[in-house]
Amino acid sequence: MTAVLVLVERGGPGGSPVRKPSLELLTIARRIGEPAAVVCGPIDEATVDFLAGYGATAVYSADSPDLDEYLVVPKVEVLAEAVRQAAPAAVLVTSNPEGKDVAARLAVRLNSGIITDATDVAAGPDGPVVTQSVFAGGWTVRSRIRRGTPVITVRPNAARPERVADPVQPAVQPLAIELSDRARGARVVNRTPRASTGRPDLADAAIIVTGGRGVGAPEAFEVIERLADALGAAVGATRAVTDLSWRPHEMQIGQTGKTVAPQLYVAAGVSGAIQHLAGMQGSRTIVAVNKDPKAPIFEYADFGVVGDLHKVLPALINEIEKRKG
Amino acid sequence: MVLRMVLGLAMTAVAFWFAGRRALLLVRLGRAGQPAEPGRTAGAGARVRAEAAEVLAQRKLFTWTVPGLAHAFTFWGFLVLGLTLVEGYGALFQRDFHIPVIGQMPWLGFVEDLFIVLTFLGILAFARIRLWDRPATAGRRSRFFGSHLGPAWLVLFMIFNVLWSLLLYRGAQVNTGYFPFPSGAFVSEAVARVLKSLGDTANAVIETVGLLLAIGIVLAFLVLVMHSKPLHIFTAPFNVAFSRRPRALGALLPVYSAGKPVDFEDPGEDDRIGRGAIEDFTWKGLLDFATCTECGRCQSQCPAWNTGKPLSPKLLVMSLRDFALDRSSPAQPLVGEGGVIEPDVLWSCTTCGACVEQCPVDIEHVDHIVDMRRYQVLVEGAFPEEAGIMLRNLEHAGDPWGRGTRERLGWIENLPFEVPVVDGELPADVEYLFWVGCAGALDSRGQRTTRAVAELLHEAGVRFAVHAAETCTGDPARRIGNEYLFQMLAQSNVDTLNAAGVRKIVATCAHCFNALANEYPQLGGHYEVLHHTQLLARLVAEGRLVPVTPVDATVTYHDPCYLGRHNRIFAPPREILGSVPGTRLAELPRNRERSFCCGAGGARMWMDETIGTRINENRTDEALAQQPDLVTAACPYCIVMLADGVALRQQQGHAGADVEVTDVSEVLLRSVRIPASTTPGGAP
Repeated sequence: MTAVLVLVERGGPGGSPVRKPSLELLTIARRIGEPAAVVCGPIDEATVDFLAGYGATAVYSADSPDLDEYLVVPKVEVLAEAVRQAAPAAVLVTSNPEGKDVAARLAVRLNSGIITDATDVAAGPDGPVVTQSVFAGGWTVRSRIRRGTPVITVRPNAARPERVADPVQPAVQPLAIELSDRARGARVVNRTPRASTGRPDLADAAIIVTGGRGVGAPEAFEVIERLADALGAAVGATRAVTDLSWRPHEMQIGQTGKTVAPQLYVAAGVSGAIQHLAGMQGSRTIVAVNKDPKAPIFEYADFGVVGDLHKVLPALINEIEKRKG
Repeated sequence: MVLRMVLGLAMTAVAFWFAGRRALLLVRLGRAGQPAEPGRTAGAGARVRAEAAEVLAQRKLFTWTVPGLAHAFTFWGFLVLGLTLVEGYGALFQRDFHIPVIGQMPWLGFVEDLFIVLTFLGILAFARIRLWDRPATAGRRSRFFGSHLGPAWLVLFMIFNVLWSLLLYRGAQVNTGYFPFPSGAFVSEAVARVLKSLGDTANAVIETVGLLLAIGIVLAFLVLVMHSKPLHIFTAPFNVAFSRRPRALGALLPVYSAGKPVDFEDPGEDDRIGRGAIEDFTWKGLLDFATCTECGRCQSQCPAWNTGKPLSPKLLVMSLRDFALDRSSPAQPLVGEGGVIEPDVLWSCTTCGACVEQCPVDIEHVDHIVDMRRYQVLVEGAFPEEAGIMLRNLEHAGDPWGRGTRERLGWIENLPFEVPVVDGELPADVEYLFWVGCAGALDSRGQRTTRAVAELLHEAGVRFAVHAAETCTGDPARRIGNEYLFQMLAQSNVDTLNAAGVRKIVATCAHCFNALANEYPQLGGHYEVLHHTQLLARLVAEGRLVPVTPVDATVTYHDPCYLGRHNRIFAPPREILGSVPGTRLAELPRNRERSFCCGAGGARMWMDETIGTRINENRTDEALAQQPDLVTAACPYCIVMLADGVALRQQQGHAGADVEVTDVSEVLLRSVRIPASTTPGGAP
């Protein structure tokens, strides 16, 4: 079987050596070939084993001190070198701003076709078949890249990371990279670690619990956070909540805030104004809790509970705790 | 006599030299601007009428009674006292000079003296207004905040000097016997009685000295005028003459470069898109800046300024003028951090048009702001990033929220009658195309209005249809400055409408209405466009809709900017509310032309409002102060903003839980329905 290259992002929340979307890519890669992880920067055995646990059969490791000093292009050159050595069936990159930048440049260098924002990738007789959701989820497009080595960026949450039953010991292949002048175009001058909330990131969380104006008060918002913690979810807020300064703007989901697409979206005390809908309409399953049976959120929800969130959510948290044992 | 002639003419020559040099500089600066777009001289009749109404009759100044009167006295005083200037210059050459034909008639003497008094009263009122409304004590609330105060006082003082020196001269002239008027000039005669006791010689000296003094002061005033705010004496008549008629509201102009519209399909290599440098403004723009009198009427009405934001239309225009005049730091960017205009200033504008409405000299603030935004968006790519989602959604999905075409017809479900949806030509028996709009199609409150209007039209027997290929009109894209996207959306809609053979359109969204009625003609789309309140008011008047069921409620009505100020539709919504038995209309203090924006226009709907207080809360509080049961408006943007405001105040316990925000049409629907057959509250 041919290799499928996966560009691995390091350092996930909670001490995980690899970010979750990369594990999703490894899971997807298994469908079309043998996953080969491409890692920039130094790599230890634990990380190699971790990657193997998610199906990596080979690891391409590029470790050059100035790799991290420049933006985007070094990753393109690492991938290009890995493609040269592995002659893969496809290259998978996470569909985030940097990933898309890397993938686009790689496709140009390889003279290959590219598909961005894939929501699914499956094997096909003539190469991988890529699914995209377009026009606000109104249409589903399946396409195949006909030219060169397919370069595909895959949205976070497109698959659930799955471990393999019997991992193989991957061969670690060092990549000797001599950065070109083009790669030294934009240098990183400063890094600030993201303030950790101890919860998953909104951008790639599989589950999000969001509170709206109906929560009633800033102190009462705590019930939203408790439910999120019980579910291992990220916490979101509506514009009304951030406008009232109950929670910071970074938590806002909607037209002027973040756009999210988790597997499960729990909206409590959210009326479902269209400005909010604009930011979460890509969610797979939407659960709404609201006192007002006429709230527009119920038109979009897959499951709805008409009731006081301050009664419903504690009961839900209890039940979750009980089942978790 | 020779001495006074020589002195008088010498002073005149010196003053004219200084004033003329300044005038040449100003003209040269004005000519550095781009050519204006065509149409600035079209419609001579309307322009002459505008001169008569706005300059001679001071129409816009009189919208504020006391300052209006004070200004009118001063302005008319200047015209009348122009005659005394003729008399004075004549007297340099011939001591007993009088104006031919009417120059000795007592009524003229009376009128001249009367206007000396009225002008004096005028400047007294001005002084009083300026003492009352001082930036030093009133801060930002003063409309003179940021204006040049010193020169303003100096001008009042100079006018005062003109008046007393003139009276001194005229009084002495009465005593020396060279005064042209045998009677009528009552003030001059009174001064003469006081001077009389000084004796003949003294009066002869005072006559000459007074004449030279009066002429000297007028000449000094002329030089001062050329260098400061009263320049509007000379520029305002031109600015009014070349202004957009009837007003610089409603449609925005397409992007012009060198006086020609830019073809966005294939823009020219040298086309200048929007305004990125002061030279990019047209000569009319520069004339606007030169004409600003710093009166601050715009500032007093601006929703951004009144909620603590850095934008004041006056300060914006003043900054541009000062930059055009003083190019000592030419590297300073026009817009940007540390630029002439800070980005927060530019993006605070809701394009509500309150400034344009107020401006007594017809400055076109909104056009300038949008032109600067065009450069920022299309050339620099610099705009509030949260608005990018709206633009992307418009491109991909045809609506600002990214819901997509397939979701647009959801509102039709569960209606008890058939709504024809056309995807080609409009059937011959269909009179109106019902333009639903993105909010009307996708927003839950907007959908309620859409359904209410559809039900009412159906009830009245109006044949209407909706078009399946409708997308955003492009209004938010145009107003944020993305003209390219506007042209794309608008052209596609115009093609759709023309292919469907549409002639009459009814729209519920004030922004759609404005684009369809005023902007689509620029792209070859000519339709008779009605706002739903116009059509519904007509149907009520014709008896085709009969409001019967009383709606026992105190109702406020908020004039949407793009319906009211921009399109002068003030009466129909009120007629509708007035036709509903039981309603009590409580007018908001700021209504009709002076309505206060909801905060959503100018694409502000799609940006965060983080500076100062919230515009929608300001307006909501004004409505809630009327103790209403129903807060109504006639535009989905306004409804969203006011509903947000009311929900917030209800949460804080400042508004009753029963206060509802709703479109005027829903109130009508409640009344047209027979009570037993429907649910209360008007919600279907």
